[in-house]
Amino acid sequence: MSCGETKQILMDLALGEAGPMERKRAQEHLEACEACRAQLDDLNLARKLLVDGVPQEEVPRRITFVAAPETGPLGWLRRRAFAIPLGAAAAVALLVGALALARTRVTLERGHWEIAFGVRDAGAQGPVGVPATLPAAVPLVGMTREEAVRVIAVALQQSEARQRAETAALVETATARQDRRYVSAMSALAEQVRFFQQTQNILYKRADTTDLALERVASRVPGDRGERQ
Amino acid sequence: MLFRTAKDSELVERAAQGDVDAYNVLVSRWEKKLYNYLLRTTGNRDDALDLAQDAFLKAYQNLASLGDAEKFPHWLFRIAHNQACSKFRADGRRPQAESESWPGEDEGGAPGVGSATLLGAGPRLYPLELELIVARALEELSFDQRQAVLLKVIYGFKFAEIANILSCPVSTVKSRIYAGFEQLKRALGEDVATRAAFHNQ
Repeated sequence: MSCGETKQILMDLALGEAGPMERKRAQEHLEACEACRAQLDDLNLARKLLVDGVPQEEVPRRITFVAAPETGPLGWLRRRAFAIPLGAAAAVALLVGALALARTRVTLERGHWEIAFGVRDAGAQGPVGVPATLPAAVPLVGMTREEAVRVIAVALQQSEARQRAETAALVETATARQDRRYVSAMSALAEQVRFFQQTQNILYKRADTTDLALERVASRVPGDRGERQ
Repeated sequence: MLFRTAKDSELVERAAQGDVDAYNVLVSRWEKKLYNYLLRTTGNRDDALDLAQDAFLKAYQNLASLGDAEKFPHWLFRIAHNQACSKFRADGRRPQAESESWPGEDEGGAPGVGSATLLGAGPRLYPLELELIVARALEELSFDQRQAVLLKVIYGFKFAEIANILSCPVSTVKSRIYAGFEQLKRALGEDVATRAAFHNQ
């Protein structure tokens, strides 16, 4: 094997791409040829210098995924965590609106209006546990206009009170849930800050040693300074 | 299962079944390498971080299509490389690792940490000096040569894997790396010898 043939194999050896056959053949040549040994040393040194001389920066912000059960195994980036409480609040608001609409029923029967609040059906068919302080449905037949208006007003008031209580309970639940999310988001944030501070400390220390190194270079090679910068 | 000791391929298999924790361990192992590769491709820290996040997300969504779990690293780099290229196409510019990607002013490195010696006998080079020398030598390579050489030497991928990442034939990868590495060797040799001479004065 000649030096010319060995040249590419030396490169493969230094780059860790040589196969066992090539390795064996190169070994035989290297034992006999000092020039090629020096060549391989140079290549290995260049690789080592490159590995040591290309700085690997820390990632400025850690990349983390969190599971989002409602959408299956699709990762949400943690930085979007703040968006979730807003979504939940919007959903609660929609639900409250839907409830308010669904719980008021107006029917026209045989030429008479009937307005029902609070429960789905009139009378005893209401769900167990719902206090029947007022009959859920009041027939307005035979009442004077004033009486009908009064009955409607009372029913409206009670319905509103009930809805207010339900809304308050819903909001309370949502707030509690949001608080939990807020706490977990804040602890994630605290972790990020801690990581950031740590990175800054490292960078600060490095900058310090960099200054020292620069001073050293500058003092030793004054003529070289302008050319390098 | 102890994630810390698990192999990449085991984590990939668990993540493919929807185990987000396993995937996060995988991310923590590769994020620094991928971020630095993208930083050298884009020359911009914000772009590099965004692209790394996108690449990890895209990889997670497509884990099922990755046949062989062992291929995860260069498959991930391929995704990231393609993302970077399509971003540059969208921006109408060519990927360029300009001087911004070589943070010489704030990335000194403590003396004695990862510093090189000249064949074990010469004086110590300060990490900063070495970084400057290497950065200067790398700048003289073409963009394609630089990418291929870094993927080989810094990230340790095989020729075939690099061909896969860069979507080009193995022969092209080889010629880029051989030419680039030879040029680097020459430039580094000259520079290091000069520095060593200064140190010895």
